[in-house]
Amino acid sequence: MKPLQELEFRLNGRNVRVEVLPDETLLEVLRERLRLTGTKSGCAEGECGACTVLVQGLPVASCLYPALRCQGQAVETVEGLAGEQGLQLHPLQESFIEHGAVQCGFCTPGMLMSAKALLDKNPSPDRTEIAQALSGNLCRCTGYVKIIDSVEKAVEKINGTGPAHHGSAEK
Amino acid sequence: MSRVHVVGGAMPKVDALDKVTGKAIYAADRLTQGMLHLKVVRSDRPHAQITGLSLDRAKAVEGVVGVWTADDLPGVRSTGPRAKDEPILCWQKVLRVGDPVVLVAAESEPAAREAAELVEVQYQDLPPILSPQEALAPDAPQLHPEGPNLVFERRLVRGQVDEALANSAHVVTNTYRTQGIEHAYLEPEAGFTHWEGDQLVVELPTKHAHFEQNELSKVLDLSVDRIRVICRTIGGYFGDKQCLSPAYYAAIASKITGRPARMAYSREESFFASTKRHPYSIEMTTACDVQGKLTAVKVDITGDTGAYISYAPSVMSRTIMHAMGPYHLDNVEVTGRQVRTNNPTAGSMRGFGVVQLGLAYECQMDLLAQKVGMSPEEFRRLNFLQADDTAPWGQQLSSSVGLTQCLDAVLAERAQIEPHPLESDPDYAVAWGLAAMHYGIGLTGLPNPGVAMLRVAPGEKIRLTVGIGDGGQGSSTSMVQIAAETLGVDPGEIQIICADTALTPNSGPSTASRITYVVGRAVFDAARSLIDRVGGELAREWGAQPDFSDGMYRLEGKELDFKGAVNLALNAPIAEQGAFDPPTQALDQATSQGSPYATYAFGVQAAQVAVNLETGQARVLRLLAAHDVGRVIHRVNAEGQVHGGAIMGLGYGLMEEIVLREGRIMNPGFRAYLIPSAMEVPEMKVTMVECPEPTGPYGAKGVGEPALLPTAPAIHNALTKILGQPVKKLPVKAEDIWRLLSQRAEK
Repeated sequence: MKPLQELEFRLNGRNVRVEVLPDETLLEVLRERLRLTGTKSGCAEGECGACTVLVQGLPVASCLYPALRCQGQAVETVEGLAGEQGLQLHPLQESFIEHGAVQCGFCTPGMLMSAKALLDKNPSPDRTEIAQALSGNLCRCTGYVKIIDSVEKAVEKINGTGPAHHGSAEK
Repeated sequence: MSRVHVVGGAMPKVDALDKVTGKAIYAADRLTQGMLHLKVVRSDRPHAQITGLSLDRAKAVEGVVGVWTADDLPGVRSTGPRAKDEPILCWQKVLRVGDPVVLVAAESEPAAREAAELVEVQYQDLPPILSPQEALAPDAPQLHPEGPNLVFERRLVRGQVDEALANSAHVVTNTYRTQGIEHAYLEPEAGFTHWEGDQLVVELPTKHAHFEQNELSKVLDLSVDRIRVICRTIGGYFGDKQCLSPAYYAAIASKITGRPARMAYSREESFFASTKRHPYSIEMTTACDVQGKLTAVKVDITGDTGAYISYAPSVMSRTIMHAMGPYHLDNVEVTGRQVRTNNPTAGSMRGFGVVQLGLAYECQMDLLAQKVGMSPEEFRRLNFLQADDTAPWGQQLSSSVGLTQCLDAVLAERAQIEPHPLESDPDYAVAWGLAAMHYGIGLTGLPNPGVAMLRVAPGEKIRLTVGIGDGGQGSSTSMVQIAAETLGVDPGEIQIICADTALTPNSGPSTASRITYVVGRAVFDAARSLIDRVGGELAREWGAQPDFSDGMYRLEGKELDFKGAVNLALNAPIAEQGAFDPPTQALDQATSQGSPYATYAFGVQAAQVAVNLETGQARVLRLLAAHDVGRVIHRVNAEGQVHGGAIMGLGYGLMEEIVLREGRIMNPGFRAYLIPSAMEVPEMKVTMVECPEPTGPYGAKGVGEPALLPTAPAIHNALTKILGQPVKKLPVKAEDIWRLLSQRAEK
């Protein structure tokens, strides 16, 4: 058995310390060692996006990401999206519920994290930019339409622009 | 107090909050101290005799708890959703690449993986049978000891087809081919098992918990009451997720060792282990008279069911009832057969043997329309089944037939749409294609009762229990809506419990687009019974039986809502069951005439497709969908079904194919097997045509499978217009288009 190594990083705003094997992925550490199972394993080859989390604000496929590379870094998962106490839903979460973006839910955590990474970088994306940002996250249920709608509606909510002010937006 | 109206609205899904916060529990999320990790060693041969097994090196790996073969299985050695012909572990022969042979259990995932790699299986290869044609050849070996390679054949016969064909003005004959595809649910199959006292708890995603309980009883040699099956959150199923799965292997390990176990397939293993959509070869002759009225259809269909029977008979039974499309015909002859080969097993997938036929019958419609000199839409309008029509299978249809309304809706949308910029781009050819469908709701000519229970107690939430899990389509939400609407209560007053054999009734499988119509009606009936029961209790307080309407009990100026009545009149909990079995009539064995389904969903879609003339790349620009699903229970979820179904249909039409070489899947993962991403999504417009079904809950029918059916045929018909000839196979790849474009340029 290979020796365990100590890993310290910030996870959803809190410092965590955990012992991991050198070849463990961030996904394995999150799910099996830290019991944060919101992040899903869909393909283990970085193709489906179900395991997307943010490392230093950037979306990564945690199924391919060596856990030890997170040493000292900030990691965000779906469990942290509703604030530290988990009580204040992110506008994306509210919008996903309200506009029917959630079906089986397996792609949802990864979708939300990719969408958050987009909005953190570009607060006013158009539909094409939203689709591009989500193109690495597969969904077999929704046909993506309501997911893209939901991100668009969340943008309006965050920016305080309702549909009334949105007449000129490109579709 | 005003009446609660939730049916037809769009309340938040009952499970959405858990799903957006990461709290929803899927089987692979479960974990407990001391659980076993499992691996299955699978065949890498399409057809071979097992001549020996070397297990010692695997057993010697540190942390290995068991290395088991068929001889170690606790109960029956074979299983299957219908025929019991699939070995849980093969003992004599393997019939496909991916057949399970050895099960390894270990203390850790790495130990299980290492041991599985050290298992050696010795084979003597046998010639593989890789097509139905080879399998049906007179000198072909019988692949499975249980029966001949021809596993099923059935005919539908009405009128005098040959005579009608001979007397028709226009006749079109073509052969069509469709491919095997992957369900590609995002959640790979998984299972978690553990003992609670002397009961084994099996947690898994499944479309029928009570089936699994019964089947596992035989697999484990345990009485049914010692097995509790809990359906965890289902990460998509699309017709699959029933019978042999990681939960079965986990249950076997738990039975042998007494310990908890967990297993999840990798994506690659899921490709090799799971069933596919049946590849079909379809020969179709369709004829009409000089005015364009259809006169006859003759169809011959051969399906490749792969190594095991799975759902082959059920799929083909449904195929032949839908082989002629949603058209009035007096002369029909359909023959459908399913054939065993050494290819991957085909099974139950959304569209269940109907989506393949859409390619054929809808292409035939366009080709005949052209011969007659009519537009595709007017040709269809002339021939559509109508309300109260007699269908080609001899059934008098109900009043809920909204085909013409669907066509009108799509044409109205198309007339309004702005020209697409690519229409004026000389590098592209752009065309619209049209396709229609019908789909029988519920199992084909079989009893398929839905059952639901409602329980009330003073001061408690109303508890609704149903035997079906929610695959993401929103069935739980629809069930809550139906109960809330009927009882006149806020949906928040209702707690739903799904698919747990210890707590819920058997509602039948989540299949055949039947949940809303069949189980929803059972919920409605349970609610009506409960209203009567509570009304009876209230009568003791009020002195006479009250009326119930608009959510209120009323008697001589007194009124009370349902919850108020429960709190006033009940001292103890009461429960009522609702059960609904759709009225069907078994099919005649020789002619398949009968009433196989109580009601049908209908739909029409139009696809605008652009082809890059240089590369042959096709792109769907717009998709207009109109579906008659009966009364809509949940507007947003119903639309979501159409969006998701249509995009799945787009993948079927243009992208997806299980590529085989000598029976082996060459693209077992999302790197090489491409499903549509957000970038492939066209502009979509969905219209719900609501022709109420009198027997459905609030007039509802179903939408899950119908959504998918017309998309690939509509895309194919658009491509036929662009290319001047039909491709006649799926998927239509850029190279197919490019080849036909080049041929046309040469002419």
